[in-house]
Amino acid sequence: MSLRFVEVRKSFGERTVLDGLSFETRAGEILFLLGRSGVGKSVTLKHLVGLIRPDSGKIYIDQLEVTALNEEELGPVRRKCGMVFQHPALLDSLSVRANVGFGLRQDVQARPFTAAEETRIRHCLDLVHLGPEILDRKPPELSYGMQKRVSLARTLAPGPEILLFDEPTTGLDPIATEAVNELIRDLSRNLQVTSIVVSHDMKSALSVADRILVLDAGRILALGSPAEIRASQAPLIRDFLSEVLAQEVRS
Amino acid sequence: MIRVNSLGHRFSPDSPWIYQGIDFQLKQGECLAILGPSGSGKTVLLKSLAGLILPAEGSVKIETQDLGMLFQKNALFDSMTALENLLFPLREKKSFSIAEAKERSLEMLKSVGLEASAHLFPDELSGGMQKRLGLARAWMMEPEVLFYDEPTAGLDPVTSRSIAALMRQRARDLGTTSIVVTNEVARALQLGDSVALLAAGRLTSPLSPDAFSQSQDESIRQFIEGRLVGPLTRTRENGALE
Repeated sequence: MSLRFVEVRKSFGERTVLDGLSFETRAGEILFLLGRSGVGKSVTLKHLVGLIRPDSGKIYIDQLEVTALNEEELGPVRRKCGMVFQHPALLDSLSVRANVGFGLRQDVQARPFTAAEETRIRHCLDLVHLGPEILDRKPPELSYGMQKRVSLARTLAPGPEILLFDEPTTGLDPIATEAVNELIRDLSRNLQVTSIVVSHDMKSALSVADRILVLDAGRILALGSPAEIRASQAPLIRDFLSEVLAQEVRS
Repeated sequence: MIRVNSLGHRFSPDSPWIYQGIDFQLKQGECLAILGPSGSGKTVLLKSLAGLILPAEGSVKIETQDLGMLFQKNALFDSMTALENLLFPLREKKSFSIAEAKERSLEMLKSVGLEASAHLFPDELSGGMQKRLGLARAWMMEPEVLFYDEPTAGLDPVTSRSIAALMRQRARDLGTTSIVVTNEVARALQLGDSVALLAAGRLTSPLSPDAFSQSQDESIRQFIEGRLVGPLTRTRENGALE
């Protein structure tokens, strides 16, 4: 699926967050949205699923104009978009099985899962490299990294065609970060979904993204391949790159 | 200023040790940065050092009782504005007049770039602003020793670097001794006079930032490079707290 923003503007009170944002993703690509805190990265994601409406401009998923849909019509669009939150946000009182199954239907405690649902739950866990031995465990019994994977499996359960990641590696140590990055690469390759990753982690962007879009003051500062971003001379991008480059030299 | 001997902790006599055999000394005005994977026990260690958790074995000696702490989640008062959050410790602990306390608090807000947000409540501030307010509150009392738990987690790299620069500047101006736990390698190298890695229940010997980043220790290398395969990953899968 492809996504297209056309001249999208959004202000909150006096503050303009998106100032005529236009860009397009390619089907199956991993696009990183990078920028400083408060620059409108998450606001951009929320526009895609209609959680925030633009003041002006249009947003398309394939040929469908999302901005023209009412709340009811947005339902099917939201089901196509899997949102992966920064924190796992699992239900602690439910088993891993029920947490992943929650992505299929919300009345998980009303009746047992059917054989087809159970198969789907196990398949989604497998996609995030978790085995069936944890199906009956509860989130507090799992490491934080495993919780993040269970949360991702829940997002994958309904079969989204677009994955939206909101700061998936923020607050993680370098090893856990690499594990999440590898998952994003795997999912993109195996499921051929289009992924948008909101982040301020330049190192991850350079190693995972097909293209990187850098936002600044509500506009696109740069949009290009990791190699093109690496070569950019824009001061903000050099600032974001400086520690990554310093570490590469040290290593 | 701080002397730590054979420090170890576990939550009960039947539970596994989180860490053991930790020894180090810190002189007045120095900063030790402790890196480590999630769940390696960094926060437990910091709380043990600050006296918030009684260690299961070993000792921590600090030459002062004038301690301050920045908590990972800031622990701001939700029902107070940014300004009131700073006024609170001053009015509780020190005998300033209201006018004087207010002046000092506004000055502090300015130094962390929050002067325009004095009247806002914590939930009206972004994550980065809340972090800066947490720092400002920790700094208000000008403690001799400061413990920082993940002071820059979740901030973009530019903000993160500028906050760390502010931390260093203040420590230098006031001669504050500090211990910082973080999982950001670049920040530890920027902040610490010495840097150590807490992993697999042990703290490596503190090294200068240069020596740390060039260390050939396998765990340190794996952590710095963020490799999935190595000694730390095995330990984590073997049931270390995460």
